Amino acid sequence: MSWRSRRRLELHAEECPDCSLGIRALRALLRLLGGGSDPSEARAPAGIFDRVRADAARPEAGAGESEAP
Amino acid sequence: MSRAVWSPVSANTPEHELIGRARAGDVGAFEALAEVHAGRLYDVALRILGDAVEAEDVLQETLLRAWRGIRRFEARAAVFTWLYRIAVNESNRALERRRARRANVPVDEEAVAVPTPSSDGPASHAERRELREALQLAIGQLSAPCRTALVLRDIEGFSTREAAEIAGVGEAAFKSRLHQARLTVRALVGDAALVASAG
Repeated sequence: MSWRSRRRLELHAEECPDCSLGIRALRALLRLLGGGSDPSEARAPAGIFDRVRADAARPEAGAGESEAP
Repeated sequence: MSRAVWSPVSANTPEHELIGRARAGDVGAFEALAEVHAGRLYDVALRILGDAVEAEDVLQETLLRAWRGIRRFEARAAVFTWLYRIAVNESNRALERRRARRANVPVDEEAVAVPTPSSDGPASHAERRELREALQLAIGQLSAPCRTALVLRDIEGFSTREAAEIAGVGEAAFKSRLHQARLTVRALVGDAALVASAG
């Protein structure tokens, strides 16, 4: 989470007693879930396009041929 | 429909060109388009599901659905927003499937309740693990709309406008969901433990 987002959250927590403890819970969760929570640090695992490639390799396959997302 | 192709993509290829090529069936262009967002897509799936294996499965399914739907992608929307919306929907579906598998297992209230953490003593590591598990469980208890709001806004750090767009609702409705989600997390986890753990 960026500094700006974190600050926004803290400001809301100060202004909204109802939410403040829920927000604290989330901050605790962020600290505890695998360390850093900066989205730029996120790394996708390898092989994420395997299904796309398999789909594309089908005869007559192409983008947009199957169901909508 | 023409057969899928794979042509080289340079690092400087503009996004609109990648979109056009991907729509024409160019897998390389699609991968270049999606790859820059893959880390954050994986991250949001991991936040919602709390399980790396399931998150990877969701990411693969997200990309497959995006590939199959790229021709219907409306270029006026941001690619990032579009991909994120698919990832959030897929994550919620995966969580619902998990819930269905465990439908006959009653929720353990004691598992949700968190012990009040003490100082950094020998027991703190176990307490932190329990807190993490309890919070993940609490998030898992939320309805899909509330969970989506909470993860996008409070965990991923999107602005209300961005998060509402990804969730596909108006800002007022999004704020209502977010508020409800925060209250639910608070109720599930318990005030005393949170004051001690977050203070």
